[in-house]
Amino acid sequence: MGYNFHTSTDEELVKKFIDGHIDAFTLIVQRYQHRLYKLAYMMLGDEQDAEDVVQDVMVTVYQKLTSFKWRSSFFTWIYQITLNRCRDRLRRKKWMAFLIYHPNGADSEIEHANITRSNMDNATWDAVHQAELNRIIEKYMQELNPNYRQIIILRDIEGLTYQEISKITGLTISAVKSKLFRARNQLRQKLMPFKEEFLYD
Amino acid sequence: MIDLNDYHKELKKQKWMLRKWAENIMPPLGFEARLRTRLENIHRSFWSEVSSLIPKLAPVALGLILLLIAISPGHENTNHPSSTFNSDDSLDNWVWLENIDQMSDEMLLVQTWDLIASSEGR
Repeated sequence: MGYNFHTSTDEELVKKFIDGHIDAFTLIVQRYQHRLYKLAYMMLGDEQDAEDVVQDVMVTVYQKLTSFKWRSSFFTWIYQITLNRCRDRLRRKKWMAFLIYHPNGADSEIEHANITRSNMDNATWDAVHQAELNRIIEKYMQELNPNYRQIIILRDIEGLTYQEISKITGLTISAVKSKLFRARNQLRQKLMPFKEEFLYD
Repeated sequence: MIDLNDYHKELKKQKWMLRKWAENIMPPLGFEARLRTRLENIHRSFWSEVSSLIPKLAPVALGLILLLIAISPGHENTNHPSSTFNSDDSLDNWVWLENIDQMSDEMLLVQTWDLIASSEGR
């Protein structure tokens, strides 16, 4: 093959693919499939939607990679496509939710976790505790405005720089910072009721 | 009034929780296989589209090639009305007859005979 999954840069793999090496594309898929799935899932909160988005993104990348102009890094480009697809899907879902009436409403409040430690060993307790914590985080992340949610994901989870986030979202750096501040505060307030008893132990 | 230290501590904890949540997100079973199948199908259909275009484009390409051969300089064009071809195949040896349109058939015949005679006598 002449190139290695672990040592080849994205740029090298893209160039190999453009030169006709289809296996370079396989490596690109392997490198990004899980990252993009996580990103899509965190944005959409649904396994099937996240999988569909990743498939669509990879097909788009396959079809458009030969005309990729390197105005941004490959990673920025692929994240941009993924987040755009997620936003499209969220818009569609919003319309569907508007059109289809749910008499019982899906907006159930999260009850304060009422789990007790009785009869649980440490490992089981930790697992249950973590699962409950994840359920709460997921619920409140999904309640954030998608524009705030994407910034929190890119900065606090993915650890990207403000510049990278600015390139991916098309926002100015100061807009990224202000959205991040608001997003963090909104999430913090949502998690406040759980502060004492559950989250900050 | 928010204590800045508390705020930073809470923020740090919040980030930690978010990362823990993200760590636990795993693609469903068969995700990779389904993605690979979809991409393989796209790849196959792309190449079958390209190969299905070849028979459609082949006559056009052949026509273009023939046209290029026909109009390329130096090609033997025996139907040219104002020229006659000398056996030596170079442009210098093409003999141009002036005012051929005004010539009568007899004149043309005489001129042609003269040319043949002069080339043989060369």
